[in-house]
Amino acid sequence: MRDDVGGRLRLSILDHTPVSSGSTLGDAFWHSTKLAQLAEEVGYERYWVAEHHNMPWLASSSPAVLVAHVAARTTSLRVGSGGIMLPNYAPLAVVEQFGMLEELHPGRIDLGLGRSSGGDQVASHALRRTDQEYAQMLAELLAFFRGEFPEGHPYGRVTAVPGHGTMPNIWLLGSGTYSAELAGTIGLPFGHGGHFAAANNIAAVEAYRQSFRPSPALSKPYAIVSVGVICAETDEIAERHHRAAYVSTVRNLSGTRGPLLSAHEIEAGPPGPWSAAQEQFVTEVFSSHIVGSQSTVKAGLEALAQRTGADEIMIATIMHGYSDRLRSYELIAEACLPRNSIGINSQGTGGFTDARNGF
Amino acid sequence: MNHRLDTRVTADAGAETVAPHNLDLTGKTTALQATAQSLAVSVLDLVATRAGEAAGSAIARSVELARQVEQLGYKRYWVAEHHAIQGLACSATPVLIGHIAAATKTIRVGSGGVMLPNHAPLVVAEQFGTLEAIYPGRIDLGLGRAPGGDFQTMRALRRGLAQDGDDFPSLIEELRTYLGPERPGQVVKAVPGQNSNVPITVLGSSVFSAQLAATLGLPFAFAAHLAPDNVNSAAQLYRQRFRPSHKLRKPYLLVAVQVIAAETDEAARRLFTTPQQRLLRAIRGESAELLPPVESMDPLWHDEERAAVENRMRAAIVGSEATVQAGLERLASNTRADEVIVLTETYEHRDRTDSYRRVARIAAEILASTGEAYAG
Repeated sequence: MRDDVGGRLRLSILDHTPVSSGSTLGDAFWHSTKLAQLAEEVGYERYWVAEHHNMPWLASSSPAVLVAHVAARTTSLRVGSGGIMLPNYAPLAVVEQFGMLEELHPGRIDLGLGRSSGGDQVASHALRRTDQEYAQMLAELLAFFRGEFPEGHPYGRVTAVPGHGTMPNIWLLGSGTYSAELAGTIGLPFGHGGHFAAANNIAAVEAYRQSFRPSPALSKPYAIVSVGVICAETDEIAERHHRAAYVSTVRNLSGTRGPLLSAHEIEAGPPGPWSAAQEQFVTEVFSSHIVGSQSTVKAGLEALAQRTGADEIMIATIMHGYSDRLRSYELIAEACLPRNSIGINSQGTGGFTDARNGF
Repeated sequence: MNHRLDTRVTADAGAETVAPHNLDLTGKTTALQATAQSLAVSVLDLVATRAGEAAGSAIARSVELARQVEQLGYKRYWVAEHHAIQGLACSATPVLIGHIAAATKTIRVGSGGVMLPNHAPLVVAEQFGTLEAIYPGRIDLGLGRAPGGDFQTMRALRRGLAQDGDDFPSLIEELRTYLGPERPGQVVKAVPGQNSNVPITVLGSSVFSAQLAATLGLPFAFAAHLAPDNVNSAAQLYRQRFRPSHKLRKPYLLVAVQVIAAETDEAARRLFTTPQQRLLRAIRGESAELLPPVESMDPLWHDEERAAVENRMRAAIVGSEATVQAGLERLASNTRADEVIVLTETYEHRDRTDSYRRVARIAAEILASTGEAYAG
């Protein structure tokens, strides 16, 4: 972790709204509300929702709607997308959605942007995904927020209502160095998707810092690294949950698609479909997760912050069981976020020029 | 204004196909009344902002209104979709719906409507599937095919340049694939959305959309506030061509109309100068923000402008409770509407809620034509 935050580990939440077997999608969303309320109570920095499509075990396909849902039920927590997959949408539509959210919850909204699909090829087709160049789409999005299209641009007379003049904090997210360098070049904060691409995290953060140029939005670089975590009362319990999530994921990607199964369902039930290729992929992703008791997880998170130089670690917990998942985030906060130590704003604004950011 | 409406109405009422009706409140009853019930009323909101007002403030007033009309017994609260129009803060319809549903408890909340050609059907299914999962049984999906903005705005929204709404039926079909039960071999599923069966209503201001709604066996909402001419013919066509579906056995017609009810005719007409000024400014290509009412529109418009504004707004029902009651009865009688969607825009919030309060009272006195409630 970095010196300028006074040695305090900054933690935040990335919610995929995982769906547990035996529950409805509505249950999953209401659990997300509880999780966000917990995040606010125990001092997580921010709460982001992911974007995935055509995956019955992840319910977060409409980040803007979910952000509205969660922000309406919290009062001070920063809420955002982690992220909106920009090529799936018209930039103007994203500006209208997040401009409206920023109007409704001033100073609380983050708009994290990514460029992957959040789903498979067929889903991308159904989403009418565009192959337009990402940097161009990003420029268009920023121009709508700022009302700064160049003279003669066809959209020069199109005003985003709302959106123009109510820009949330924009983050660029990525799993490699492309978005890291883009974020650095234009002076935006960066989030690395380490929960699925951990191997690149050091290189990406390094590339971001190297390319960083101060901007009106951000005076010095600010990087988040995400990681998959499961925390429980003991290492054994956490590992059992993790194993269940692993098996559920391999099975889902191998053909039988459905909600996440519990450890008991997997241990007692018949074997499901199993593709060796998917096993290899999932094993690689899951091996980067931090899994265990409070002390194990705390050590893992601190080591990750040291290793990557991240300003903030974002925790993605995808597992069966809503109360177990809530407990995981609660245990992490208990171990790593001593609430009475330092005030959240006591260490300055983290480079953001707008103090509303809550840094 | 009303005079012209009356003329056309008489012509329609003479048509054989318009059945005798249940508006006789004098005591002469028919068998219809055994199953009759009060005319259902709902709200359409364009989230108009005042000059210089932030969108967030206008949305806060919408939330307050939604809470109030929920208490008054309104059935639904629908928000429209408009893009890049200074003065209308209703571009991101699903976000607004989520926000308003979070602030209310029982009223149905929905879109009036999502302009489907502006969006990928899968995205709409996921958004409304998410809303339905969070607020089961409270979400409506009204669908239209208009651009909701100008040409460049449609380009910016990546609406197909050649798209003139002709693909609306196929887009609805694609959307229904994602909202209905999973089909054998279906590769892409809306998560959430699949099998959520969010009720769809077809919106329109033409006989084309009336025919489409009838063919699909879906409820039809006619925008009389946009197309006062077509309302009776569209209503009639919808009923004639209606094919029962597993969603709906009998036609269900909603008619959206501008209403302002106040203490007196004069007071209501004065309040009506706010929407009149807005339409006038829209015709001139100026911003569409709400302006305070004026004593007289005469200094503001030329004769041609006046004719254009009055013509476009001639379905509006404006006046005292007695006047509005007569207007709503006439509308219900002529169209045999099952439900009236009330669009009321005033500068002051209290005038708006006062009007909705009066309309709720009036509607309770009016019997609906079919007496059959549409669950959705």
